Amino acid sequence: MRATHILAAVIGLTSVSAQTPVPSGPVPGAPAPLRVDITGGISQPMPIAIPNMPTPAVTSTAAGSTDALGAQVAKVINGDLKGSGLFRPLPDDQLKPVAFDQVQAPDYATWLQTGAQALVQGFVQANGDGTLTVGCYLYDVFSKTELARQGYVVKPADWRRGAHKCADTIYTRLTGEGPYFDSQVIYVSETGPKKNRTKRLALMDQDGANHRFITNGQSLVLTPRFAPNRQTIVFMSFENDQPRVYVYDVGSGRKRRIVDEPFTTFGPRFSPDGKWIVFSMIKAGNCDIYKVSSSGGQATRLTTSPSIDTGGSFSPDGSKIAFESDRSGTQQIYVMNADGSNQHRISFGSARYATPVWSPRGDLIAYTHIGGGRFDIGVMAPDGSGQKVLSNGWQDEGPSWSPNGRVLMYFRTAQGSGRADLWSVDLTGVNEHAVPTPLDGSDPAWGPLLP
Amino acid sequence: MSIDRTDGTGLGIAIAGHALLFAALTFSIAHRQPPKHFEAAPIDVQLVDAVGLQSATPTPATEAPQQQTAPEVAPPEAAQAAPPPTPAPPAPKEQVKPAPSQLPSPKPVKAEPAKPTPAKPDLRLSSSLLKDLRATAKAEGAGKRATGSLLGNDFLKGVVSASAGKGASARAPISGAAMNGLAAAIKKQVQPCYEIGSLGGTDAMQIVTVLHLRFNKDGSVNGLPQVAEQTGLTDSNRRYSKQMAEMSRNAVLRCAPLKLPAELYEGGWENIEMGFIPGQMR
Repeated sequence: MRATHILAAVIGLTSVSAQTPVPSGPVPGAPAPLRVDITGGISQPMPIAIPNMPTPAVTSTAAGSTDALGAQVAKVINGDLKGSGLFRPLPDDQLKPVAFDQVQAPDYATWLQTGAQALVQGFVQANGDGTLTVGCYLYDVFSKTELARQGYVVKPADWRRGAHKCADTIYTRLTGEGPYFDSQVIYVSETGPKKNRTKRLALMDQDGANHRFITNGQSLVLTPRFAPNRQTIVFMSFENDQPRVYVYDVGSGRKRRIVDEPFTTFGPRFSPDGKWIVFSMIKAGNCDIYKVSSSGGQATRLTTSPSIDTGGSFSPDGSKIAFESDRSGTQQIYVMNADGSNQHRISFGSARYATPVWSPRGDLIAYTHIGGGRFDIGVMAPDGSGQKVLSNGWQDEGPSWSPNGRVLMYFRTAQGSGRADLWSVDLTGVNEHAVPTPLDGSDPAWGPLLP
Repeated sequence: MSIDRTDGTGLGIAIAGHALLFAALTFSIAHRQPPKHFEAAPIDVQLVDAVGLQSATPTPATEAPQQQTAPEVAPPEAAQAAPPPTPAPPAPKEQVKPAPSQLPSPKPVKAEPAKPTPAKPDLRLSSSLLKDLRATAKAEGAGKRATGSLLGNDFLKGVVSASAGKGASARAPISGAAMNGLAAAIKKQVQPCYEIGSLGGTDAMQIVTVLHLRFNKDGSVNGLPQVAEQTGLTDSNRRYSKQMAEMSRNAVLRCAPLKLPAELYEGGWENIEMGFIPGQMR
């Protein structure tokens, strides 16, 4: 025991000496520099200045004059960054006008006084061929350096996309995350009384702009999902009172049933390469998961248990499928290989788990957590570890990942009225907020980043 | 040769005892934890005058003659009057204090904008901390131990001006106590500027960034801070590496110029290594 004590004392000494300055100076021969450790960074939205973008020459375009567009582009960037919850754009009264010749030579001294840590400048220029160029520059106010610059040539009608691309450049450079602002969301727009809702497919930009309806609402629709190339959408419709999954071609407007069989099909999702669609089919009273080529053909059965297996979602590399099953007695999440082999349970909580969705990064699976009389959105690792509830509503369900895997969109049903609307939350569980839609909304599916 | 019963028993006990001792030692070595590095600078509790960075043998002062140091922190002008051998001080800067923070009215572009004080949290140290540091430094500068409270301020003042002024007497290295106090002062000033923006809550919190910093005598940063090393990188958080480095760098730039005792500049805060550990201690 004595030896142990002596050893402990030696260890104690070693750790004491370990905190004296580390002998690794920049100058050989010089004494080791003083070492100071700063611990515990402050996590709060980054203040960022996004002044209106000037134009080299005021020109009128189909989308308005270039100087007015410069202000609108700055507004869209402002909305995107603020909406991410990771930035705090300075209010208008703290911004100062930027002249065109200042775009590439920012007045750091003045911006430093505003408290902004980053500065976004840019310009909107009309080109001879009728297009617009949106110039986008990002500066670090403290180090007085340019961090990024990008130019986007867009049609005047697509000016918002130029702004989203600029916002994506800034977001990516400052956060280390992938881009997601230049993307669209498809969802089910709902209206009418609780017992007789009209449900239409609707498409909008990620920030709610450019909203349009895709179906007319004559038949109930559910669970729309984008193909990776966005040219095809799958969804379930109650057309002719028969619940079936349809494949809809956006370009031609044509749609067809996913399989030519007289059974209920639902819960479709594309594989990451777009070649397959995984879906559920109720055949002879047994609900199982199937997959079929997205160009049609014979479906392959992946699960065979007598329980209800549904909600298949591919991993981003296409090798695995997460799904929900009640084979253990309650709804739980399982993972299997894409050919149906090696089915194993990953969720082991007291609650029930539904609608698994694999993150585009592959490191997490989002799901609906059902327990304690509530529905919440949660995430876990693909091995079931690290479960974390992110949302905080009465009934939150149906998560969908942003293209960069940092944000989740889902729908929240209000207690009593049964009205649903779209919400989003950051992966860290902060910045939970409603996504504006003209009517009620449910079943959102975030599409891929636009090219 | 024969071993009788008692001999055998004694031998048996001896062997067993040795084996036990051997096992105990082996066991304790096997379970020896590698020394843990502290994640945060420890609280400064000074029991004794700890060791300094250099041996306390007086070495000839390399410092150029200096004007008399006032009891207050030497203004940057004093440094300019006597350039240290390395590094060359920057061109004298005009110290322009901007009008109190709100200044929304657009100003015409200046050819050479004056350096404003960045908007930053109130970082003023309690004056007593600096005072204590300074007193220690002065005592060290005289090559003597602080011998208690018998010496008045006037006496210390005389000592400091005598040693730091002429460059004739030896300059003793800064004591461990003063170094630790200095580290605490630096930490206190930079800590409030260490913002990690969007990265809180992500696995970027495992990334520790160490910067090499060179300071000018006026407390400003000499050049852009360089990353000495980054640890804690994994496949999943590597994408945040650049951002973590930049946020560390900006913490220093934002809180500079640091207000530190001029006496402790050389061999003290002229060159420092600053570690940024974003996660809170568990």
